[in-house]
Amino acid sequence: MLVLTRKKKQSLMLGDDIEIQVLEVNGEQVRLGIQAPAALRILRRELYADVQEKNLEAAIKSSPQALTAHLRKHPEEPKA
Amino acid sequence: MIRIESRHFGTLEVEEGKILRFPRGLVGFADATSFCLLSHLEAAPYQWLQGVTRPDLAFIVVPMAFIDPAYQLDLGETERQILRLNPGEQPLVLGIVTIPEDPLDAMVNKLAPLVLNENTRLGHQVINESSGYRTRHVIREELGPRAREGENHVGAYPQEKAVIDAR
Repeated sequence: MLVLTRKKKQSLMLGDDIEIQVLEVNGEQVRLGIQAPAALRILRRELYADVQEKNLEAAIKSSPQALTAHLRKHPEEPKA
Repeated sequence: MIRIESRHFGTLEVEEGKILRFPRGLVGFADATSFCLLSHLEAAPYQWLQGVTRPDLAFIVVPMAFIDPAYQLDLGETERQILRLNPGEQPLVLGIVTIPEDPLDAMVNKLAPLVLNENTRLGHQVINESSGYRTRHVIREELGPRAREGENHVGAYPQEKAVIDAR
């Protein structure tokens, strides 16, 4: 991994059209400004990891038995 | 015909024309680039998204429009290109379902739906970030009173009868 030190207001170029600027440093929090082509999807890593984890869980837990149980049990349990 | 050894449904033969291509795979499953939809009347509106390149993978999916008729999808230019979706064309949006031990708590992923262009048969998992949706929404709560109006079909799911979706 490439490691660089940047100060507030300084930025990085990724290729020709992506710029990441350090806007603010506040204790443990860093505010970044990103300029990139609209077509580029920028995601917080934990969001991506969340989706990845849920995909895996869905794949593991999906079975015809589980679906049958869901269909049987799901809608009509009358509320007490 | 493509023959796959599926995890839950034994050997399946899928017509080439019924295959759905996911050029980017699914999040965390980059190699899951082709699928087919399996449906059974009694399980409607739930269907199976059965992996073809990854026959060990099968997801339970449900139309997002069923779960949440007001579902908002924010589709970017990149996603439209991946799907080859023309302006004005509406994709089919499916949610991945997870059924935990208590099936009453079945959940649907509203953050990362599967978006399908039914004309090109291209699909893509979109992270629909700006929406405030989460990866886990309890289906029972999403349906609310609709669940008791008989909109959600009930019935057994005879796995030997899984059929290749005609869509």
